[in-house]
Amino acid sequence: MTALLSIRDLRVAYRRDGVEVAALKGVSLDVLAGERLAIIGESGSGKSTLALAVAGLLPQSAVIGGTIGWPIPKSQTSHSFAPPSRPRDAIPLLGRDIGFVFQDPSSSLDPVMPVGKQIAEVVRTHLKLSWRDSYTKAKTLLQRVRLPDPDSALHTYPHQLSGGQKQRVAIAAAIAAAPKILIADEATSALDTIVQAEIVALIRRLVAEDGMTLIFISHDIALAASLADRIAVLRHGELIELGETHQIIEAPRHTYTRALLEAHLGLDAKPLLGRQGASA
Amino acid sequence: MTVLAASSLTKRYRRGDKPFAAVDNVSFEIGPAETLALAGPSGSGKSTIARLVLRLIEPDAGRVDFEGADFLALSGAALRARRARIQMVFQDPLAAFNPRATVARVLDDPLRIHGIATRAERPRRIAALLERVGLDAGLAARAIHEISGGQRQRVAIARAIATRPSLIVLDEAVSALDVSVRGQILELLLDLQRQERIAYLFISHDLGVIRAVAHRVVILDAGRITESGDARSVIANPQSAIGKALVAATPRLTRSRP
Amino acid sequence: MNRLRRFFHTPEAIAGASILALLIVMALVAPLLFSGDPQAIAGPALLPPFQDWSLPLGTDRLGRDVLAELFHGARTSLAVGLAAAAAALFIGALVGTLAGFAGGLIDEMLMRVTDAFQTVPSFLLALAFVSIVGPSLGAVVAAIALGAWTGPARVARAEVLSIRERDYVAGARVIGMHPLEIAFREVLPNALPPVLALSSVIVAAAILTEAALSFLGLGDPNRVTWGGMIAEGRAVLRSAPFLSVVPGIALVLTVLGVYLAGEGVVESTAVRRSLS
Repeated sequence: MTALLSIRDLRVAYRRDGVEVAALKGVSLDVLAGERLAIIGESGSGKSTLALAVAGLLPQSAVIGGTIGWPIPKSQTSHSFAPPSRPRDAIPLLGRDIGFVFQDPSSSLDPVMPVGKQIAEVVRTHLKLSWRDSYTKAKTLLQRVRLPDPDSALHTYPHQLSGGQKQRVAIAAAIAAAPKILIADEATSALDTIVQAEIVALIRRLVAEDGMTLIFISHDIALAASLADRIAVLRHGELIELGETHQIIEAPRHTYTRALLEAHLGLDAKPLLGRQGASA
Repeated sequence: MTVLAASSLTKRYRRGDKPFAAVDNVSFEIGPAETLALAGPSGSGKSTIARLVLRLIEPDAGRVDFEGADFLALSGAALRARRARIQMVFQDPLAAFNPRATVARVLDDPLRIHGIATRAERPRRIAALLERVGLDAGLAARAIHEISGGQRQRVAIARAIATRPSLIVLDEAVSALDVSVRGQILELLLDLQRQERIAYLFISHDLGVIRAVAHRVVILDAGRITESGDARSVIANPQSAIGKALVAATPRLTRSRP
Repeated sequence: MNRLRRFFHTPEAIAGASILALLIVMALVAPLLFSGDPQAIAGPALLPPFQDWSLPLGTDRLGRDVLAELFHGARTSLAVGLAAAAAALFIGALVGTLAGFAGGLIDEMLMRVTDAFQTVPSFLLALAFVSIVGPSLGAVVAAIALGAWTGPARVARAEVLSIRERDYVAGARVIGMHPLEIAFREVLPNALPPVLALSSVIVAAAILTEAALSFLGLGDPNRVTWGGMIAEGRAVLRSAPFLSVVPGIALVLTVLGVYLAGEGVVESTAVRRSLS
């Protein structure tokens, strides 16, 4: 497989009260075309910063170093962050080339616009279709994300939908322009277990159907393992370990990865309660 | 003997024009030093039950007996005094504290309100509480927003045990924590339970966590109890549709070696 | 320190702060620089400015030193503006917090009273109040505060309504805190920032109202006020316009300074909020 995206020595720092706080300290990583890559880590690991950097969504005030290379066929140039002037075509466009799903669909969707229009807008902007065709495409997309009754769903507002349904709409908008990469940043963390499983299944199906490359950001190693081909473990802004999912799960090399696996409380884990014999 | 007995608790809200029951005829009991878990999808009524039991909201019907007395009959100063015995820990430890508070103030409040220690004794008590939950006593002077999420949740637990309660309601108390911190907090809770014989009403959407710490579990769906029983047996062999769905949806690590 | 640095980041804030600083210095040094009674006769009547350097801004119809009056007038303007705004914010925050936190009948009653005050034009209210009570510094302050507290009350109530639902308020109830302590110790301090953001507007409006009352002869007769000076100069507006223009400029600059400084504070706290 070829690298769709090659990240080299990526360094990101945020400025807070005049002090620079490092969020990523030189991360190098290749994202392969068509793979499902999970990036896991705890709070402060820099996993979300990595996702935002790839999508070009970092705030203006962020101090960025290193390169994110896009050896995409269209233009072989890779862009560097160091000079702010970059050739326009070389940069992948959020929405057209990259789809991004945020953790909280209530804040990523416009509360005063019908969901159909929000999806149609993405289609119209990036695929240059007419409104009528964009709406037709939006309806197809709502069908693809399995929203019940897509015809009337086009005209509903976000607040009329449940959390899981909103996230389905957000996913439909993210994939509307048929991007090459889908980034899901903790996209299921605000949902309950049952809805989370449904959304993960949906993402898995859509990625397979469209041949998209998936970057799945999560704090949950078990969830990541259920979806990803490869797992990258981040800690304090550094890439600790990267490997095939089965290798990470069954033969982790780094002690931190081992600690994460140990801390997971699955349905087969040894109960803490029994260990102490504290029954009433 | 039971610490808390809820019987036929019902709470109705209006959604648009239609009334609906957020909690519908729910009954359960918790014994001393026992952990009862409430599990269910979002909107199943878990948090509403927590708020009813704590009398943060009032039920439309039903009865709550706490330590053998009618808890719903209390009001005013009598209710406030009784609150010393039933405490709560919230999901988001940052939202659960006044953004202007320091660690010392957060722990000082319950000691002062319930007259547990004189003004002169309180700093020593606060230091002891911090040490009890595994924190450095020097943390007292820090602002709540300066300490880490795990430390904050330990402070929340210290505040909850300050008045020596017999029951603590834990509403998704470990859900927002990093997994490495979560294990330590659960160990702390179990340790407190063994030593102080505190009962927990443990609300969580995570069956893995429930299985690790709870004695019994109640599974809720749309405000009703669908099944209940020994936590490990229910999770190993769920009978209700929602119980089966919850178990099936829980992510698992398929590892060949233990 | 950081907040201060951020405050002085915008040119508007610097301009506003400079004007205010100048004004405060004027108010403070007035009794030292012009130790006599500013209302005493100091020279010939209607002396134009820049003629006699012992009376740089000239004299008015009665021969009083305009510069001395200007300095002493700054004292009145600032004192009345700040006192009235403080009173309005205090009453507003109190009423708003009680209404928002108590809810139900108390909320309904307090908000209807607020409506009643808000429907009467605040200047008419002040006019009527001073006419009945009689012109004195305290009466003017009370009269202005009477018309200005409704804005802060509404903002405080809205803020309290949202804070009331937060977890830490539930947490305070769980540990058995008394409702009044929750309202004034847990809720009110966190509801204050947006209320205080109104203060620059209220101070500016209060200074203008005070000037207007003085202009109409309803100010404290024992104190020099800018509004009173403008009214004094009105009779000789054609022959000696400087008598009205000088205090008029002082008034405009003061209101501008208060606005700009207030904007600066709001902006620097807004940056702070978006960062956290």
